[in-house]
Amino acid sequence: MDIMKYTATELSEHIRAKDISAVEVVEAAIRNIKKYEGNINAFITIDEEKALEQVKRVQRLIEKGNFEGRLAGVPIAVKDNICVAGLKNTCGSKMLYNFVPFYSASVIDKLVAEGAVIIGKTNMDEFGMGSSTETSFFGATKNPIDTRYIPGGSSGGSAAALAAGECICALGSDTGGSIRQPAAFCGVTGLKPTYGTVSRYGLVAYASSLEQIGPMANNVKDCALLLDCMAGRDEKDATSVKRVSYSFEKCVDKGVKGIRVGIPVSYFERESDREIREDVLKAAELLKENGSVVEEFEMNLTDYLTPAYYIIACAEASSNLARFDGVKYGYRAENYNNLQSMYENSRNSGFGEEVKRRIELGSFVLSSGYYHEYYLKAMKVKKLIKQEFSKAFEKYDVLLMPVTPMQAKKLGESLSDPVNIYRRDICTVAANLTGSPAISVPFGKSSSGMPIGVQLMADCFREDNILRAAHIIEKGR
Amino acid sequence: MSNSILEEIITYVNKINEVDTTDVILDEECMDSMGNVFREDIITNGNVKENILSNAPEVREGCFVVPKTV
Repeated sequence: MDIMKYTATELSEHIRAKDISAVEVVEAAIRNIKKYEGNINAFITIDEEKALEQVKRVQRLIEKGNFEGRLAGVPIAVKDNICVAGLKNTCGSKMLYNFVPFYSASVIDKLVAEGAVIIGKTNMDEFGMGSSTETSFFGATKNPIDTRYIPGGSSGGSAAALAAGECICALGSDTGGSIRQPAAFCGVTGLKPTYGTVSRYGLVAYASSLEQIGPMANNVKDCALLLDCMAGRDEKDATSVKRVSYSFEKCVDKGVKGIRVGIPVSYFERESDREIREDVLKAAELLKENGSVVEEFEMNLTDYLTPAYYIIACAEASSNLARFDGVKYGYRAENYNNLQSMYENSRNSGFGEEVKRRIELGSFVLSSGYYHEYYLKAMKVKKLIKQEFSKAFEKYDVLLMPVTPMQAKKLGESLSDPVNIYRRDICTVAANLTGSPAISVPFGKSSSGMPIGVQLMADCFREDNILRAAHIIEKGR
Repeated sequence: MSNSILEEIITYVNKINEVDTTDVILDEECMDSMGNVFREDIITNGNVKENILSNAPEVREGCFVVPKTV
């Protein structure tokens, strides 16, 4: 069997049992990277030497017979906004084209302690701002299922690397759907954990109150395993929380008998793709056959999700990205006459169009004359949205919905119309505004042969419910 | 930056003003789930000056260099 077809769970078991050598696995991943990268461009940085060094260390520990790491020898691709000491961390931007962090994100330390091998850093929309991985300074990533299509974004590189068999698991970050949407477009599984579950220390900030690092893999169980390994309270992130239980992997097989599933129909009444709609309803049937109680219901305020999201996300971005000034790290313009023009020229040529647009919008909504009308108003609307979801979660354990209202576009088709791009985040931003966990799991295929994913969302700290339902959907597809 | 695109975006996000938020109070919002977080004020990262300077575009004698400001 092709080594890269194993799940992370199987692979680490085989490696610990010495049936398969960890080195062999990482070499297989590197072989695939060399074979497919020219076409896909999923990675910004690949460090073969460091990966081999890491895996030899893991193999030595296994030989000694005392290594219990749950990710022993599993090659993992990491989105290029999550710091790995000694590896370039560009965020897909010219602004950080040469930035090499000297520390690793807390999640990286945790995964490495479990025996994971970081194989490289994946391409992304610049600073996470986009849904197609086309706004990267390092060129667009293509969808491995059909290279004429976008892989989605912003964690498009991680999703594409998984779909192309260049890694076994991957990390993404999700501020408004950036794990779930590319997972759906590339036919892989991606989970956005409850806010506070995973430490954000070492994640380059875009919108701090909304984002989480999350697992991406070829199946639900691997996502759960990865989350088991990286979740937990971290002193270095004051918003990380101590949870009662961290046994995500153990939930996966528990079935959905008695689980109450709600389908918020307002999510796909208008402007949504017929094939996606049909797949969501088929997934609902499957859950019903397995003992769930499924019903459709009306949800209010859906029209205001993306407007509120973009106001809050851009406000936070304008503040977070103020740190890039050409002094402490990253790009500095070549020509300037004084400090002011150095700041201006560095930021003007270091950031791409979409990033500048969001900084501009964020600065506008926070400006003294408009603060109440936009930012404060959006925060109030966010609170109402949260209440609306709390009401839904009193009745349902899981919400089943599309990941996106439309299928993946072809490369170059979507960038010219930002408002339309923002609008398409309608199904994913709610989980970020409410802090809830949500998973995107591949289910069907469109008539053009592209994957279609469905999304499951649960109340905060109830990853167990979405993992159980997602596993049933993946088994039944 | 094209002003018309930004105007279009502002018109779009302006939609939130249709929502009646008269009774919404935000005071407790920031503290709702976790309260404040404290830790002892202990240095844990040691002397990392060289590491910090290593990514700067211009450095001289252990300092960041910027254009003359006064």
